[in-house]
Amino acid sequence: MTVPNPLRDPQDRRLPRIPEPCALVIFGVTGDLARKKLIPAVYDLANRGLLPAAFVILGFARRDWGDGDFEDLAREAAKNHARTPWREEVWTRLAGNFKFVGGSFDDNDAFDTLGSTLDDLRASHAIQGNAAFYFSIPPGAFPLVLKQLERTGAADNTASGGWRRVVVEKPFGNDLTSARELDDLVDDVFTGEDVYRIDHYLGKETVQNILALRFANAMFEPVWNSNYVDSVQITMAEDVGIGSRAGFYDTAGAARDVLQNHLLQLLALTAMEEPVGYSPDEIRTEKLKVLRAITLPGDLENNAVRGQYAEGWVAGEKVEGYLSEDNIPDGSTTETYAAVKLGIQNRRWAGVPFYVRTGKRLPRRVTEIAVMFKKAPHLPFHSYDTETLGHNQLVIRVQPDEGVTVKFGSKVPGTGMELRDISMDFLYGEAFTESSPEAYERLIRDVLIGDKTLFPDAAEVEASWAVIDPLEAFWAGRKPHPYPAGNWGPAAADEMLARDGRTWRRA
Amino acid sequence: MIALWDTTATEVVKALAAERHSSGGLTSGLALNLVVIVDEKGEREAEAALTHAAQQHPCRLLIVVRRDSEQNAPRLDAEIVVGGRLGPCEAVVMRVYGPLVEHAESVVMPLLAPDVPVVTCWFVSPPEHTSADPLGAFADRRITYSARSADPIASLRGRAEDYSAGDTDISWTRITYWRSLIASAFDTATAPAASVTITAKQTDPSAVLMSGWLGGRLGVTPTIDDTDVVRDSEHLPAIKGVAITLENGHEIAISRDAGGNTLLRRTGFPDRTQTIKGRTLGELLAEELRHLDPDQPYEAALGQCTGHLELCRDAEAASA
Repeated sequence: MTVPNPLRDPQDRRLPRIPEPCALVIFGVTGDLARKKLIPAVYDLANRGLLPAAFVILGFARRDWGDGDFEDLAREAAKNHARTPWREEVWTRLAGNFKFVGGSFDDNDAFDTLGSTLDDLRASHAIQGNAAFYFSIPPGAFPLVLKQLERTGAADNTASGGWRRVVVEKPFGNDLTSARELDDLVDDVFTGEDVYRIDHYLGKETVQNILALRFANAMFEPVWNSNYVDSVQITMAEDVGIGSRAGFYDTAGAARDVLQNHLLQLLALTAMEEPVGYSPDEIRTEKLKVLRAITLPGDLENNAVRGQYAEGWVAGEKVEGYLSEDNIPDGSTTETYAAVKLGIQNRRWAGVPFYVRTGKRLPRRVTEIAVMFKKAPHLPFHSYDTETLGHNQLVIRVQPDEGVTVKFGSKVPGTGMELRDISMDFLYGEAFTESSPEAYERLIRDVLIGDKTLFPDAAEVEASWAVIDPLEAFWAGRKPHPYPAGNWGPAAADEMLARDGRTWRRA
Repeated sequence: MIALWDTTATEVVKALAAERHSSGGLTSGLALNLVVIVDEKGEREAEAALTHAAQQHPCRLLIVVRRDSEQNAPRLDAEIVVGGRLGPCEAVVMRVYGPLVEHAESVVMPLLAPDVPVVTCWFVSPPEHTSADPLGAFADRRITYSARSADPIASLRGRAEDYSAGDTDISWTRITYWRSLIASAFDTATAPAASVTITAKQTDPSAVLMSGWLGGRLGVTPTIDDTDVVRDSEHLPAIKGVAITLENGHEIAISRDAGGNTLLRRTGFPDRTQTIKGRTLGELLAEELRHLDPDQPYEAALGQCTGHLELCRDAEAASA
């Protein structure tokens, strides 16, 4: 029995909140995600003193390895990809806490070993039966691993005498039906509140700042509605192609890969009502309300565009078109670009279009939310003086150059009254140079502490699929518009906004 | 870099504006003003510390170097560095002589960036009354370093008598790692604490603050077992170990050897080791600048260890 710790004081912000003693079990530990993100994030957490003294990393993969082999791989991974500087003494403290269990997902013996290893660690490493299982594996393998964990009782809080949590990565299904099946299965094996769905965008400092910006200030919220807002543009652009993800990507496409999760989450945070309090449940309630209020336009033909990159030049290099990428079937109609006009049916937003777009092989990597305000109802200036005056804008730059820009008109110095747009900038790196933690660092810590604020729940995932499914049904059997790599998407997307008398902001 | 010899504050203000302009608004997003008081011999270490701190907290850095106060004529020499050797900040180093040493605020005030918080930090022995001091009066945060005064414990008592919201002391900052370690060791405690022993140098203000913190939070008065502590850095607290006995007889003990290896022993758990190294003044200052609001846990610990229990009540009221 432990007693409440009198040395812990919420006001004492110098002392970091540290998770309870626990183990992090990573399935698919040899994969890219584990090597480039998860293990480095664990090192960064250790370096910042945010891990408990009793902490074990347990790797599971189909390899004939000992604990030492795994430790070597982890060391390489942490050294190459960690955000914080390398300090040998930090690693020395982590080393010796690496365990490895080899086997395939249908190997009962391997999972029995996993279960008994966790039991042994309780005594030898004082982890008290607490463990988080990270699924860094293809979604097809989820059911198998879940069934194994159920069979060995490893997912059972009571049997293990501690907490058992599971972390799943997107994709959460590929449509509403499959998402429901997956949710049912995970919730069956673990309990609903022990399931953490990672949308790594929500781990970003700027995304969390959306709530601070909106709800901690007096000056933005009064104009954050259809009386003052003309439209909202949410962009997530990547300059890279599909890389080695051909197999998965060709069955999914941009809408399932990015729009369904990242973009709709950004939209939800931008458009939601004020939560009653800053707690996971309250925030989720508001996000869910706005996700359920999203509607697709009746005329999808003119308000939803999908594209596919063709050969072109990106950042000074000639790149292949999508159809010439390795392992992409000839004549594939999968989209690498999607843009759609969404509406939100509530009092705050009725009539304000939310234009969301995402694409690969666009000119640069950028994610931003641009709130375009209506023009002033009347301008007492000569029309020739205000020719270059645009909409007032508030732009939240999620990445890169994290920060906020406000754009407004100002007088050009001189004898006339010429007006032009200027921008006022808040740059995170300038006001707070303490570098922001990587999204995974933040999210892994939250899982270990048990804070679900930044994790979408099953209902949110299902509400998002309800938006995407009709879109996919409409697109099925149609060909995407080709666009040359290195351009801002197909011309049809520009025409879509032009029909509404608007243009895309050059992000 | 611009150097101005035998100049006036007005000239300095103009020169700073010119230097900012020509460097293209390098630090337009200033988060704070940092006023630092150093003496001639501490200048070099202070500059290194401030460079480190400025890397994490872009600021307007106003360094007051006290030179020869015996000199009859007041004199000001200033150096303006924007985004140069002192990191991504705009810095003015002011060397003050003669009677101006006592009136440095008249040079500092016109140089403060408007409407952003002011932090005043004494790397020299702290003044008797920090919030009444001309350089402390306009500050939102006042940072002292009691360990640097001739009688550190008397200085700590002075801090308690003089306490106002926004005060902290580097002697407190330097025990953060220790406190963090003790707090997480106590996470698995099975009963309330019955007794606490701190093995440390009795005249070290950090050890005294530690006893104030543990005493206040655990409700038992710690004993300080006076011992000499070998330290590899001036900024390491002179603490060798902390041992807590629980009401059920269980023990939690943390001890650190001269090399920094720290051993954590708990009844019923395997031993654990880790390293506590001394931090640089810059790292300590960077931790201080992270929080610009009053530090109630410090207030309570200070009150507890100096017998000013009204501070503990204040701190508690603020958290309610």
